[in-house]
Amino acid sequence: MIELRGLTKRFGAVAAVDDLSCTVQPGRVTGFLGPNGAGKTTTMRIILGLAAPTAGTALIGGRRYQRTLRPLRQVGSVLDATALHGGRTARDHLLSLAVSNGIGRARVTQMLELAGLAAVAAQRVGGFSLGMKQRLGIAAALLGEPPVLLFDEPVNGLDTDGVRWIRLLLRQLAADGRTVLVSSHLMSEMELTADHLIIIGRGRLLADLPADRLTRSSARANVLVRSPRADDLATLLTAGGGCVKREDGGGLAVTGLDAPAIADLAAANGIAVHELASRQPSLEQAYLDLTAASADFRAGALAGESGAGR
Amino acid sequence: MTPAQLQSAQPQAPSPAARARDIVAFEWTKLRSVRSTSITLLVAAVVTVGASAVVARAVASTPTPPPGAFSALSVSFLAYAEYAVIPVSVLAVLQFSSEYSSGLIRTTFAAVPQRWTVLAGKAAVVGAAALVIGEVLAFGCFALVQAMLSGRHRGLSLAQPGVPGAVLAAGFVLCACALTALGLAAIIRHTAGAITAALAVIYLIAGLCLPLPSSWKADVGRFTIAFAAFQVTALHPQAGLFSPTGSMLVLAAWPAATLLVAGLVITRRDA
Repeated sequence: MIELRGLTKRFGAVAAVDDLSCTVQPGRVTGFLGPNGAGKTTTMRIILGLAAPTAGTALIGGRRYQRTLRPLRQVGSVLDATALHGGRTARDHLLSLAVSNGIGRARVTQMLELAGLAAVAAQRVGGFSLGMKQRLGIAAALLGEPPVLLFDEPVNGLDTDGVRWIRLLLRQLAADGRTVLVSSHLMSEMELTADHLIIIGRGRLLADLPADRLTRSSARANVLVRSPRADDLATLLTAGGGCVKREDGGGLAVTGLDAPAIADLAAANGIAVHELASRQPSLEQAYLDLTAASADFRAGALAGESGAGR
Repeated sequence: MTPAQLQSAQPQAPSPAARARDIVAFEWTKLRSVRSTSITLLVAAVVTVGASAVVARAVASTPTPPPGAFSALSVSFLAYAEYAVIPVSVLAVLQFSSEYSSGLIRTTFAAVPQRWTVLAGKAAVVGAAALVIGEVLAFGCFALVQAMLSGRHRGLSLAQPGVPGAVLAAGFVLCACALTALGLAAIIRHTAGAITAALAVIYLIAGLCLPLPSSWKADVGRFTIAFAAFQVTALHPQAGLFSPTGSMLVLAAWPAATLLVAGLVITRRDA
């Protein structure tokens, strides 16, 4: 479990992370989202003890990272997969990290196999593609079988197979009961991977909620209904508590009533329904709506709402 | 693994000895696993020994012998001081600066968040490597040069008083230079800047003392690495400078002070 309490990091007058408080729970993949410059990487660097917070604390398993001995057995992380010495082989890179935390050589071989790098283990990493470096980074993160994992943009530079490999791996790690925090700017990917979302903008918490709730609670979620007697149905639905908007092409966009309620109302009044569909915005759309709001005064209100909802 | 097992997976805290073993193994694995290490050391050894032979041949062929036994000893280290110190100091700089330039330093600090421990580990590995190389080259150059001079009955042997100490001290000079360079690299982070700073500290400060009036030259110069290195490797130390023991302290103080500042800086700076 990762706990952030009032975490703040200022660079001069600019607050990269601004009073951020949230908890990352084990057993699920938590997506850490936000526009570029929102403070995701800075937050992860503070969690890993690489940067000192101006105020607040970041605890992993109730402990500051800097106080952890042999931390690779507690926390695995990939911040920048390209941060490697090009002249070192993949095996030696992993071996150096393994010995630094008292981890046996057998794990190095296992992780090379897991990451699909066994065949290139003796090659210098300078010649590796970005995808291979990402795999090597993940192999390093998993060396110590840590219960907590942090990945900063892990699917960057991966091909379709690689993206799928990461997705399944992250889901498996969470299913094992591990705490998995993954930052990304790829909403479509997070939609498939994350169970829970923490969204920040300008260093402040915008939302902390289950991934499906973000789309369901969006103002864009509605039900499309088509009927040959659209006018009658619209009157009926409005009377029944719904809010009806006419769309181009004769459809009705209904909010305030769900699809079964609409169908029941229509059936009870003998109105034929030709089409009935619940529509949710994509995670990307819901996210854009939310982060667009972070630019104005509503940011505080939204963060307050999500805070109260926890 | 179940969540319950994961929660209980708090391993016992490793002993200080185990942690020391970890960090030394970490830094040693990194040092030995890049090709530049062995290439640099090979070049350093070949060039130093080669240049020593050239110097010895030149000295041996001069019709008038240079004055005193002091020269016969210092000739052993002429080439060593130039051709071993520079590549080994550069290698020491790279131990930090290459990690900073590649971003690998963050991986290192994530693996061992106790930054004084990281600094101590790098210093132990680089210092030990430089000391071994230094002693091997110092004794090697001494043996080679004296063998070439002995044909002219100008050679020294290790049996003569003061000689073994001077040769041992010559090996230590390399260690002191390497550790000073390592500390400067931790402070400066950039390869080119750190190499410039290291060469300035090792050679340039002493060079700037040379044109000073003679009383100042000794007063200031005796605190420099180059003057101290000269004193500890000379059979007859120069008056006006620190004694060989005092000069050894100067040689130890430079890396100690540099590493201390390095530790204060890296523990306070975001990585």
